[in-house]
Amino acid sequence: MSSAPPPSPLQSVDTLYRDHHGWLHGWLRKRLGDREQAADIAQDTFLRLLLSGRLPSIGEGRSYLTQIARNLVIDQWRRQRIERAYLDSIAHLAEPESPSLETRALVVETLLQIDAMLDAMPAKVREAFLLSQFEGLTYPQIAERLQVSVSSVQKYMLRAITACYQVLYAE
Amino acid sequence: MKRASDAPIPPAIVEQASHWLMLHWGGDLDAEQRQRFADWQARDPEHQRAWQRLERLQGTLAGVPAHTASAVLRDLPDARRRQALKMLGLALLAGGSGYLAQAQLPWREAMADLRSGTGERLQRTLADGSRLALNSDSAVDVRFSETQRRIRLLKGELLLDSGHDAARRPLIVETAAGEIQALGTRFSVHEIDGGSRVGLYEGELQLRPHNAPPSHLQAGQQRWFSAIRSGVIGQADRNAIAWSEGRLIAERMPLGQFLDELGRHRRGVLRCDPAVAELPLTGVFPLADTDRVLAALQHSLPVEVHGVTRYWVTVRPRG
Repeated sequence: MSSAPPPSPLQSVDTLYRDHHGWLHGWLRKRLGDREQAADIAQDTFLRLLLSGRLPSIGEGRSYLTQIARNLVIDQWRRQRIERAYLDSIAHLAEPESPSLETRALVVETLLQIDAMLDAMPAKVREAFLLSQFEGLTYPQIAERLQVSVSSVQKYMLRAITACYQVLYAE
Repeated sequence: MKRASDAPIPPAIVEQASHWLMLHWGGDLDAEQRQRFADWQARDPEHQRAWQRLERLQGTLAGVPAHTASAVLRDLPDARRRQALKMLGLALLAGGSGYLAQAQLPWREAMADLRSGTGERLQRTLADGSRLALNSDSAVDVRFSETQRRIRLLKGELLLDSGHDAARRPLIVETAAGEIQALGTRFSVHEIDGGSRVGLYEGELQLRPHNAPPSHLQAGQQRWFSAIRSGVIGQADRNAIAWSEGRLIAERMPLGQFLDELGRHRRGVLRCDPAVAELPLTGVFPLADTDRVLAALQHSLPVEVHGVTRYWVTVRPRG
Protein backbone atom coordinates (compact mmCIF):
# COMPACT_ATOMS: atom_id res chain seq x y z
CA MET A 1 0.00 0.00 0.00
CA SER A 2 1.28 3.45 -0.82
CA SER A 3 1.30 6.03 1.93
CA ALA A 4 -1.55 8.07 0.46
CA PRO A 5 -4.20 5.78 -0.95
CA PRO A 6 -7.16 7.40 -2.65
CA PRO A 7 -9.44 7.54 0.36
CA SER A 8 -12.95 7.23 -0.93
CA PRO A 9 -13.11 3.78 -2.64
CA LEU A 10 -11.10 2.06 0.06
CA GLN A 11 -13.24 3.55 2.70
CA SER A 12 -16.28 2.35 0.85
CA VAL A 13 -14.91 -1.17 0.63
CA ASP A 14 -14.20 -0.95 4.30
CA THR A 15 -17.77 0.14 5.00
CA LEU A 16 -19.14 -2.50 2.69
CA TYR A 17 -17.09 -5.12 4.45
CA ARG A 18 -18.31 -4.08 7.86
CA ASP A 19 -21.92 -3.85 6.75
CA HIS A 20 -22.09 -6.93 4.62
CA HIS A 21 -19.46 -9.50 5.50
CA GLY A 22 -21.53 -11.02 8.28
CA TRP A 23 -24.67 -11.77 6.33
CA LEU A 24 -22.73 -12.74 3.19
CA HIS A 25 -20.88 -15.37 5.17
CA GLY A 26 -24.19 -16.60 6.57
CA TRP A 27 -25.80 -16.60 3.13
CA LEU A 28 -22.98 -18.66 1.69
CA ARG A 29 -22.84 -21.02 4.63
CA LYS A 30 -26.52 -21.78 4.29
CA ARG A 31 -26.05 -22.62 0.62
CA LEU A 32 -22.73 -24.39 0.74
CA GLY A 33 -23.25 -26.20 4.01
CA ASP A 34 -19.60 -25.68 4.79
CA ARG A 35 -18.40 -23.04 7.17
CA GLU A 36 -14.82 -22.76 5.98
CA GLN A 37 -15.63 -22.77 2.33
CA ALA A 38 -18.20 -20.07 2.96
CA ALA A 39 -15.60 -17.98 4.78
CA ASP A 40 -13.15 -18.39 1.89
CA ILE A 41 -15.63 -17.36 -0.70
CA ALA A 42 -16.88 -14.41 1.34
CA GLN A 43 -13.28 -13.28 1.58
CA ASP A 44 -12.71 -13.77 -2.13
CA THR A 45 -15.85 -11.82 -2.89
CA PHE A 46 -14.47 -8.73 -1.23
CA LEU A 47 -11.10 -9.28 -2.81
CA ARG A 48 -12.74 -9.47 -6.22
CA LEU A 49 -14.64 -6.30 -5.46
CA LEU A 50 -11.49 -4.52 -4.42
CA LEU A 51 -9.65 -5.61 -7.57
CA SER A 52 -12.49 -4.66 -9.86
CA GLY A 53 -12.22 -1.06 -8.73
CA ARG A 54 -15.99 -0.75 -9.19
CA LEU A 55 -18.16 -0.14 -6.20
CA PRO A 56 -21.91 -0.50 -5.92
CA SER A 57 -23.91 2.57 -5.17
CA ILE A 58 -25.61 2.91 -1.83
CA GLY A 59 -28.40 0.40 -1.40
CA GLU A 60 -27.11 -1.97 -4.08
CA GLY A 61 -24.39 -3.54 -1.99
CA ARG A 62 -26.31 -6.66 -1.16
CA SER A 63 -27.31 -7.71 -4.67
CA TYR A 64 -23.94 -6.73 -6.05
CA LEU A 65 -22.05 -8.84 -3.53
CA THR A 66 -24.33 -11.84 -3.93
CA GLN A 67 -23.79 -11.66 -7.68
CA ILE A 68 -20.01 -11.82 -7.24
CA ALA A 69 -20.25 -14.57 -4.64
CA ARG A 70 -22.58 -16.55 -6.86
CA ASN A 71 -20.12 -16.40 -9.74
CA LEU A 72 -17.29 -17.47 -7.48
CA VAL A 73 -19.26 -20.49 -6.30
CA ILE A 74 -20.06 -21.47 -9.87
CA ASP A 75 -16.40 -21.12 -10.81
CA GLN A 76 -15.38 -23.28 -7.93
CA TRP A 77 -18.01 -25.87 -8.68
CA ARG A 78 -16.94 -26.02 -12.32
CA ARG A 79 -13.33 -26.29 -11.33
CA GLN A 80 -14.06 -29.22 -9.08
CA ARG A 81 -15.98 -31.04 -11.78
CA ILE A 82 -13.33 -30.40 -14.38
CA GLU A 83 -10.50 -31.41 -12.08
CA ARG A 84 -12.26 -34.59 -11.11
CA ALA A 85 -13.14 -35.50 -14.68
CA TYR A 86 -9.60 -34.78 -15.80
CA LEU A 87 -7.98 -36.84 -13.04
CA ASP A 88 -10.41 -39.59 -13.93
CA SER A 89 -9.32 -39.46 -17.54
CA ILE A 90 -5.64 -39.84 -16.71
CA ALA A 91 -6.13 -42.34 -13.89
CA HIS A 92 -5.32 -45.22 -16.21
CA LEU A 93 -1.90 -43.86 -17.16
CA ALA A 94 1.13 -45.64 -15.77
CA GLU A 95 3.39 -43.63 -13.48
CA PRO A 96 5.99 -42.57 -16.07
CA GLU A 97 3.34 -41.43 -18.58
CA SER A 98 1.33 -39.60 -15.98
CA PRO A 99 1.51 -35.82 -16.41
CA SER A 100 3.46 -33.80 -13.83
CA LEU A 101 1.58 -31.73 -11.28
CA GLU A 102 2.53 -28.61 -13.16
CA THR A 103 1.21 -29.95 -16.45
CA ARG A 104 -1.96 -31.03 -14.73
CA ALA A 105 -2.55 -27.56 -13.35
CA LEU A 106 -2.02 -26.05 -16.80
CA VAL A 107 -4.33 -28.52 -18.47
CA VAL A 108 -7.04 -27.90 -15.88
CA GLU A 109 -6.75 -24.15 -16.44
CA THR A 110 -7.03 -24.64 -20.16
CA LEU A 111 -9.95 -27.02 -19.81
CA LEU A 112 -11.73 -24.44 -17.67
CA GLN A 113 -11.21 -21.88 -20.34
CA ILE A 114 -12.49 -24.19 -23.06
CA ASP A 115 -15.41 -25.15 -20.88
CA ALA A 116 -16.31 -21.50 -20.52
CA MET A 117 -16.26 -21.25 -24.30
CA LEU A 118 -18.51 -24.28 -24.66
CA ASP A 119 -20.79 -22.68 -22.15
CA ALA A 120 -21.31 -19.80 -24.52
CA MET A 121 -22.44 -22.07 -27.36
CA PRO A 122 -25.85 -23.53 -28.18
CA ALA A 123 -25.98 -27.34 -28.10
CA LYS A 124 -25.53 -28.08 -31.80
CA VAL A 125 -22.76 -25.54 -32.17
CA ARG A 126 -21.01 -27.06 -29.19
CA GLU A 127 -21.32 -30.55 -30.61
CA ALA A 128 -19.95 -29.49 -33.99
CA PHE A 129 -17.09 -27.71 -32.27
CA LEU A 130 -16.15 -30.71 -30.12
CA LEU A 131 -16.29 -33.08 -33.07
CA SER A 132 -14.15 -30.80 -35.18
CA GLN A 133 -11.57 -29.77 -32.63
CA PHE A 134 -11.20 -32.79 -30.38
CA GLU A 135 -12.34 -35.74 -32.42
CA GLY A 136 -10.83 -34.75 -35.71
CA LEU A 137 -13.96 -35.00 -37.83
CA THR A 138 -14.18 -33.11 -41.12
CA TYR A 139 -17.09 -30.77 -41.82
CA PRO A 140 -18.80 -33.30 -44.13
CA GLN A 141 -18.44 -35.97 -41.43
CA ILE A 142 -19.91 -33.63 -38.83
CA ALA A 143 -22.75 -32.78 -41.21
CA GLU A 144 -23.55 -36.45 -41.53
CA ARG A 145 -23.33 -37.05 -37.81
CA LEU A 146 -25.61 -34.11 -36.97
CA GLN A 147 -27.92 -34.67 -39.94
CA VAL A 148 -27.46 -31.17 -41.27
CA SER A 149 -25.89 -29.64 -44.38
CA VAL A 150 -22.21 -28.81 -44.65
CA SER A 151 -23.06 -25.13 -44.91
CA SER A 152 -24.91 -25.40 -41.59
CA VAL A 153 -21.80 -26.92 -40.07
CA GLN A 154 -19.83 -23.96 -41.38
CA LYS A 155 -22.32 -21.62 -39.73
CA TYR A 156 -22.06 -23.54 -36.46
CA MET A 157 -18.29 -23.37 -36.55
CA LEU A 158 -18.38 -19.66 -37.19
CA ARG A 159 -20.65 -19.21 -34.19
CA ALA A 160 -18.33 -21.40 -32.13
CA ILE A 161 -15.33 -19.29 -33.04
CA THR A 162 -17.25 -16.13 -32.19
CA ALA A 163 -18.16 -17.58 -28.80
CA CYS A 164 -14.52 -18.52 -28.13
CA TYR A 165 -13.38 -15.08 -29.13
CA GLN A 166 -15.82 -13.42 -26.80
CA VAL A 167 -14.76 -15.55 -23.87
CA LEU A 168 -11.07 -14.85 -24.48
CA TYR A 169 -11.33 -11.21 -25.44
CA ALA A 170 -14.49 -9.90 -23.84
CA GLU A 171 -14.30 -6.20 -24.20
CA MET B 1 -3.64 -0.50 -17.96
CA LYS B 2 -4.47 -1.58 -21.48
CA ARG B 3 -1.68 -2.18 -23.91
CA ALA B 4 -2.22 -1.37 -27.57
CA SER B 5 -2.49 -5.08 -28.33
CA ASP B 6 -5.33 -5.29 -25.84
CA ALA B 7 -7.36 -2.60 -27.53
CA PRO B 8 -10.69 -3.76 -28.92
CA ILE B 9 -10.74 -4.85 -32.53
CA PRO B 10 -13.68 -3.72 -34.64
CA PRO B 11 -16.31 -6.49 -34.76
CA ALA B 12 -16.37 -6.50 -38.56
CA ILE B 13 -12.69 -7.42 -38.65
CA VAL B 14 -13.10 -10.08 -35.99
CA GLU B 15 -15.87 -11.51 -38.09
CA GLN B 16 -13.67 -11.67 -41.18
CA ALA B 17 -10.85 -13.30 -39.24
CA SER B 18 -13.28 -15.81 -37.76
CA HIS B 19 -14.52 -16.66 -41.22
CA TRP B 20 -10.96 -17.40 -42.32
CA LEU B 21 -10.35 -19.57 -39.29
CA MET B 22 -13.55 -21.47 -39.99
CA LEU B 23 -12.31 -22.14 -43.53
CA HIS B 24 -8.90 -23.23 -42.24
CA TRP B 25 -10.49 -25.66 -39.82
CA GLY B 26 -12.60 -27.08 -42.61
CA GLY B 27 -9.57 -28.37 -44.48
CA ASP B 28 -6.90 -27.25 -46.87
CA LEU B 29 -7.53 -24.00 -48.68
CA ASP B 30 -7.04 -24.06 -52.43
CA ALA B 31 -4.44 -21.87 -54.08
CA GLU B 32 -6.87 -19.06 -54.79
CA GLN B 33 -8.20 -19.01 -51.23
CA ARG B 34 -4.68 -19.01 -49.84
CA GLN B 35 -3.85 -15.99 -51.96
CA ARG B 36 -6.96 -14.16 -50.86
CA PHE B 37 -6.16 -14.96 -47.25
CA ALA B 38 -2.62 -13.61 -47.63
CA ASP B 39 -3.99 -10.46 -49.26
CA TRP B 40 -6.47 -10.00 -46.47
CA GLN B 41 -3.77 -10.31 -43.83
CA ALA B 42 -1.48 -7.88 -45.58
CA ARG B 43 -4.18 -5.27 -46.14
CA ASP B 44 -4.43 -3.98 -42.56
CA PRO B 45 -2.41 -4.41 -39.33
CA GLU B 46 -5.74 -4.79 -37.54
CA HIS B 47 -6.41 -7.85 -39.69
CA GLN B 48 -3.15 -9.31 -38.50
CA ARG B 49 -3.91 -8.50 -34.92
CA ALA B 50 -7.29 -10.20 -35.17
CA TRP B 51 -5.69 -13.23 -36.78
CA GLN B 52 -3.06 -13.41 -34.03
CA ARG B 53 -5.79 -13.50 -31.45
CA LEU B 54 -7.41 -16.42 -33.19
CA GLU B 55 -4.07 -18.14 -33.40
CA ARG B 56 -3.85 -17.79 -29.65
CA LEU B 57 -7.24 -19.45 -29.46
CA GLN B 58 -5.86 -22.32 -31.51
CA GLY B 59 -2.95 -22.52 -29.11
CA THR B 60 -5.36 -22.81 -26.22
CA LEU B 61 -7.28 -25.58 -27.93
CA ALA B 62 -4.05 -27.38 -28.70
CA GLY B 63 -2.99 -27.01 -25.06
CA VAL B 64 -4.90 -30.08 -23.99
CA PRO B 65 -4.58 -33.58 -25.44
CA ALA B 66 -7.57 -34.02 -27.76
CA HIS B 67 -8.82 -37.26 -26.29
CA THR B 68 -8.57 -35.84 -22.79
CA ALA B 69 -10.51 -32.72 -23.69
CA SER B 70 -13.14 -34.69 -25.48
CA ALA B 71 -13.52 -37.16 -22.64
CA VAL B 72 -13.50 -34.57 -19.87
CA LEU B 73 -15.73 -32.01 -21.49
CA ARG B 74 -18.21 -34.63 -22.58
CA ASP B 75 -18.14 -36.34 -19.23
CA LEU B 76 -19.73 -33.33 -17.70
CA PRO B 77 -23.46 -33.78 -17.96
CA ASP B 78 -24.96 -31.40 -20.43
CA ALA B 79 -27.56 -30.02 -18.08
CA ARG B 80 -24.87 -28.90 -15.67
CA ARG B 81 -24.80 -25.42 -17.14
CA ARG B 82 -28.36 -24.72 -16.21
CA GLN B 83 -27.89 -26.64 -13.00
CA ALA B 84 -24.96 -24.59 -11.87
CA LEU B 85 -27.16 -21.56 -11.87
CA LYS B 86 -30.07 -23.28 -10.27
CA MET B 87 -28.08 -24.88 -7.54
CA LEU B 88 -27.36 -21.60 -5.90
CA GLY B 89 -30.95 -20.75 -5.39
CA LEU B 90 -32.36 -24.20 -4.93
CA ALA B 91 -32.09 -27.25 -2.80
CA LEU B 92 -29.17 -28.82 -4.62
CA LEU B 93 -26.72 -27.38 -2.20
CA ALA B 94 -28.48 -28.84 0.79
CA GLY B 95 -25.82 -31.53 1.07
CA GLY B 96 -23.01 -29.12 0.43
CA SER B 97 -20.04 -30.31 -1.54
CA GLY B 98 -20.86 -33.88 -0.55
CA TYR B 99 -23.44 -33.93 -3.28
CA LEU B 100 -20.77 -33.36 -5.88
CA ALA B 101 -18.55 -36.10 -4.58
CA GLN B 102 -21.30 -38.68 -4.40
CA ALA B 103 -22.80 -37.87 -7.73
CA GLN B 104 -19.70 -39.17 -9.46
CA LEU B 105 -19.80 -42.89 -8.84
CA PRO B 106 -23.22 -44.36 -9.46
CA TRP B 107 -23.93 -42.71 -12.79
CA ARG B 108 -21.08 -44.60 -14.42
CA GLU B 109 -22.93 -47.88 -14.32
CA ALA B 110 -26.37 -46.37 -14.37
CA MET B 111 -25.54 -44.49 -17.55
CA ALA B 112 -23.65 -47.32 -19.23
CA ASP B 113 -24.30 -47.60 -22.94
CA LEU B 114 -25.12 -51.26 -22.67
CA ARG B 115 -25.93 -53.33 -19.64
CA SER B 116 -27.37 -56.73 -18.86
CA GLY B 117 -29.33 -57.72 -15.80
CA THR B 118 -28.71 -60.83 -13.73
CA GLY B 119 -29.67 -63.86 -15.80
CA GLU B 120 -29.70 -61.78 -18.97
CA ARG B 121 -27.23 -62.09 -21.85
CA LEU B 122 -26.95 -59.63 -24.73
CA GLN B 123 -25.49 -59.67 -28.23
CA ARG B 124 -24.85 -56.53 -30.27
CA THR B 125 -23.21 -55.74 -33.55
CA LEU B 126 -21.25 -52.51 -33.19
CA ALA B 127 -20.84 -49.77 -35.77
CA ASP B 128 -17.60 -51.28 -37.11
CA GLY B 129 -19.11 -54.75 -37.50
CA SER B 130 -17.54 -56.08 -34.29
CA ARG B 131 -19.79 -58.45 -32.40
CA LEU B 132 -20.07 -57.82 -28.70
CA ALA B 133 -21.66 -60.25 -26.27
CA LEU B 134 -22.34 -59.39 -22.63
CA ASN B 135 -22.64 -62.03 -19.99
CA SER B 136 -25.06 -61.80 -17.08
CA ASP B 137 -24.90 -58.68 -14.88
CA SER B 138 -22.42 -56.73 -17.01
CA ALA B 139 -22.08 -53.16 -18.22
CA VAL B 140 -20.00 -51.46 -20.92
CA ASP B 141 -19.54 -48.04 -22.44
CA VAL B 142 -18.83 -47.97 -26.15
CA ARG B 143 -16.87 -44.99 -27.43
CA PHE B 144 -15.91 -44.92 -31.07
CA SER B 145 -14.12 -41.84 -32.33
CA GLU B 146 -12.33 -41.06 -35.54
CA THR B 147 -9.09 -42.35 -34.14
CA GLN B 148 -10.00 -45.29 -31.97
CA ARG B 149 -12.64 -47.77 -30.95
CA ARG B 150 -12.85 -47.98 -27.19
CA ILE B 151 -15.00 -50.20 -25.04
CA ARG B 152 -15.00 -49.72 -21.31
CA LEU B 153 -15.97 -52.78 -19.30
CA LEU B 154 -17.55 -51.39 -16.15
CA LYS B 155 -18.42 -54.74 -14.68
CA GLY B 156 -19.08 -58.36 -15.56
CA GLU B 157 -17.83 -60.11 -18.67
CA LEU B 158 -17.75 -59.52 -22.39
CA LEU B 159 -16.83 -61.50 -25.47
CA LEU B 160 -15.69 -59.59 -28.50
CA ASP B 161 -15.27 -60.66 -32.11
CA SER B 162 -13.46 -57.72 -33.57
CA GLY B 163 -14.68 -56.61 -36.96
CA HIS B 164 -12.54 -55.41 -39.80
CA ASP B 165 -12.41 -51.65 -39.49
CA ALA B 166 -12.01 -49.79 -42.78
CA ALA B 167 -10.36 -46.88 -41.00
CA ARG B 168 -7.98 -49.24 -39.16
CA ARG B 169 -8.70 -47.64 -35.83
CA PRO B 170 -7.26 -49.55 -32.88
CA LEU B 171 -9.78 -51.50 -30.84
CA ILE B 172 -9.22 -51.13 -27.11
CA VAL B 173 -11.05 -52.67 -24.20
CA GLU B 174 -10.53 -50.73 -21.01
CA THR B 175 -11.02 -52.19 -17.54
CA ALA B 176 -10.26 -50.92 -14.08
CA ALA B 177 -6.92 -52.75 -14.28
CA GLY B 178 -5.71 -51.49 -17.63
CA GLU B 179 -6.18 -51.76 -21.37
CA ILE B 180 -6.39 -54.60 -23.82
CA GLN B 181 -5.65 -53.82 -27.42
CA ALA B 182 -7.03 -56.26 -29.94
CA LEU B 183 -5.30 -57.17 -33.17
CA GLY B 184 -8.01 -58.88 -35.20
CA THR B 185 -9.37 -61.14 -32.53
CA ARG B 186 -12.01 -63.02 -30.63
CA PHE B 187 -11.46 -62.67 -26.92
CA SER B 188 -13.25 -62.46 -23.62
CA VAL B 189 -12.68 -60.19 -20.64
CA HIS B 190 -14.06 -61.00 -17.23
CA GLU B 191 -13.84 -58.69 -14.24
CA ILE B 192 -12.97 -61.15 -11.49
CA ASP B 193 -10.82 -61.49 -8.37
CA GLY B 194 -10.06 -57.78 -8.32
CA GLY B 195 -8.63 -57.78 -11.82
CA SER B 196 -9.39 -58.73 -15.41
CA ARG B 197 -9.19 -62.24 -16.85
CA VAL B 198 -8.58 -62.26 -20.55
CA GLY B 199 -9.02 -65.34 -22.72
CA LEU B 200 -7.87 -65.17 -26.33
CA TYR B 201 -9.44 -67.50 -28.88
CA GLU B 202 -8.22 -66.05 -32.17
CA GLY B 203 -5.66 -63.48 -33.27
CA GLU B 204 -3.36 -61.58 -30.96
CA LEU B 205 -3.65 -58.94 -28.34
CA GLN B 206 -1.68 -56.73 -26.06
CA LEU B 207 -2.38 -56.26 -22.36
CA ARG B 208 -1.44 -53.00 -20.77
CA PRO B 209 -1.91 -52.98 -17.00
CA HIS B 210 -1.81 -49.44 -15.60
CA ASN B 211 1.30 -49.96 -13.54
CA ALA B 212 2.94 -53.11 -14.84
CA PRO B 213 4.78 -53.98 -18.03
CA PRO B 214 2.62 -54.79 -21.06
CA SER B 215 2.40 -58.35 -22.29
CA HIS B 216 1.47 -60.04 -25.51
CA LEU B 217 -1.08 -62.83 -25.82
CA GLN B 218 -1.19 -65.51 -28.48
CA ALA B 219 -4.34 -67.39 -29.45
CA GLY B 220 -5.22 -70.04 -26.90
CA GLN B 221 -3.68 -68.22 -23.96
CA GLN B 222 -5.41 -66.88 -20.90
CA ARG B 223 -4.09 -64.25 -18.57
CA TRP B 224 -5.24 -62.46 -15.47
CA PHE B 225 -4.05 -59.00 -14.68
CA SER B 226 -4.57 -56.23 -12.17
CA ALA B 227 -3.23 -52.69 -12.29
CA ILE B 228 0.10 -53.83 -10.86
CA ARG B 229 0.73 -57.37 -12.05
CA SER B 230 -0.22 -59.93 -14.63
CA GLY B 231 0.32 -63.63 -15.14
CA VAL B 232 -0.58 -66.56 -17.37
CA ILE B 233 -3.34 -68.75 -15.99
CA GLY B 234 -3.57 -71.77 -18.22
CA GLN B 235 -5.21 -72.14 -21.57
CA ALA B 236 -8.15 -70.18 -22.89
CA ASP B 237 -11.01 -72.62 -22.65
CA ARG B 238 -13.70 -72.32 -25.31
CA ASN B 239 -16.15 -73.84 -22.92
CA ALA B 240 -15.71 -70.72 -20.81
CA ILE B 241 -17.42 -68.60 -23.47
CA ALA B 242 -20.32 -70.96 -24.12
CA TRP B 243 -22.44 -68.44 -22.19
CA SER B 244 -22.49 -66.36 -25.35
CA GLU B 245 -24.61 -69.15 -26.83
CA GLY B 246 -26.71 -69.44 -23.70
CA ARG B 247 -25.02 -72.57 -22.41
CA LEU B 248 -22.78 -73.62 -19.60
CA ILE B 249 -20.41 -76.41 -20.59
CA ALA B 250 -18.62 -78.47 -17.97
CA GLU B 251 -15.91 -81.03 -18.63
CA ARG B 252 -14.95 -82.68 -15.41
CA MET B 253 -15.55 -79.33 -13.74
CA PRO B 254 -15.53 -79.32 -9.91
CA LEU B 255 -19.10 -78.80 -8.69
CA GLY B 256 -18.09 -75.79 -6.60
CA GLN B 257 -16.74 -73.99 -9.65
CA PHE B 258 -19.78 -75.01 -11.66
CA LEU B 259 -22.11 -73.51 -9.08
CA ASP B 260 -20.07 -70.31 -9.00
CA GLU B 261 -20.61 -69.99 -12.73
CA LEU B 262 -24.26 -70.89 -12.56
CA GLY B 263 -24.75 -68.45 -9.69
CA ARG B 264 -23.80 -65.57 -11.95
CA HIS B 265 -26.93 -66.22 -13.93
CA ARG B 266 -29.46 -66.18 -11.13
CA ARG B 267 -30.43 -63.80 -8.39
CA GLY B 268 -29.80 -64.60 -4.76
CA VAL B 269 -27.32 -66.88 -3.06
CA LEU B 270 -26.21 -70.22 -4.44
CA ARG B 271 -23.99 -72.10 -2.00
CA CYS B 272 -22.05 -75.31 -2.29
CA ASP B 273 -21.37 -77.54 0.68
CA PRO B 274 -17.56 -78.07 0.81
CA ALA B 275 -18.14 -81.83 1.14
CA VAL B 276 -19.31 -81.98 -2.49
CA ALA B 277 -17.40 -79.07 -3.98
CA GLU B 278 -14.81 -81.32 -5.63
CA LEU B 279 -17.24 -83.70 -7.33
CA PRO B 280 -16.50 -83.63 -11.07
CA LEU B 281 -19.35 -82.73 -13.38
CA THR B 282 -19.66 -83.12 -17.15
CA GLY B 283 -22.48 -81.84 -19.32
CA VAL B 284 -24.03 -79.06 -21.36
CA PHE B 285 -26.57 -76.98 -19.46
CA PRO B 286 -28.97 -74.31 -20.67
CA LEU B 287 -28.59 -71.00 -18.84
CA ALA B 288 -32.14 -69.93 -19.60
CA ASP B 289 -33.54 -72.01 -16.75
CA THR B 290 -31.11 -72.35 -13.86
CA ASP B 291 -33.74 -73.94 -11.62
CA ARG B 292 -33.95 -76.83 -14.03
CA VAL B 293 -30.19 -77.18 -14.12
CA LEU B 294 -30.11 -77.40 -10.34
CA ALA B 295 -32.85 -80.01 -10.36
CA ALA B 296 -30.93 -82.02 -12.97
CA LEU B 297 -27.84 -82.09 -10.76
CA GLN B 298 -29.66 -84.36 -8.35
CA HIS B 299 -29.94 -87.01 -11.06
CA SER B 300 -26.29 -87.06 -12.06
CA LEU B 301 -24.54 -86.50 -8.71
CA PRO B 302 -25.07 -87.74 -5.14
CA VAL B 303 -26.31 -84.33 -4.06
CA GLU B 304 -29.53 -82.68 -3.04
CA VAL B 305 -30.59 -79.15 -3.73
CA HIS B 306 -31.95 -77.50 -0.65
CA GLY B 307 -33.76 -74.24 -1.10
CA VAL B 308 -34.99 -72.20 1.84
CA THR B 309 -36.33 -69.83 -0.76
CA ARG B 310 -35.62 -69.57 -4.45
CA TYR B 311 -33.05 -66.93 -3.55
CA TRP B 312 -31.19 -68.98 -1.00
CA VAL B 313 -30.14 -72.36 -2.33
CA THR B 314 -27.56 -74.81 -0.98
CA VAL B 315 -26.25 -77.88 -2.79
CA ARG B 316 -25.22 -80.50 -0.24
CA PRO B 317 -24.57 -84.25 0.07
CA ARG B 318 -27.66 -86.38 -0.40
CA GLY B 319 -29.12 -88.15 2.59
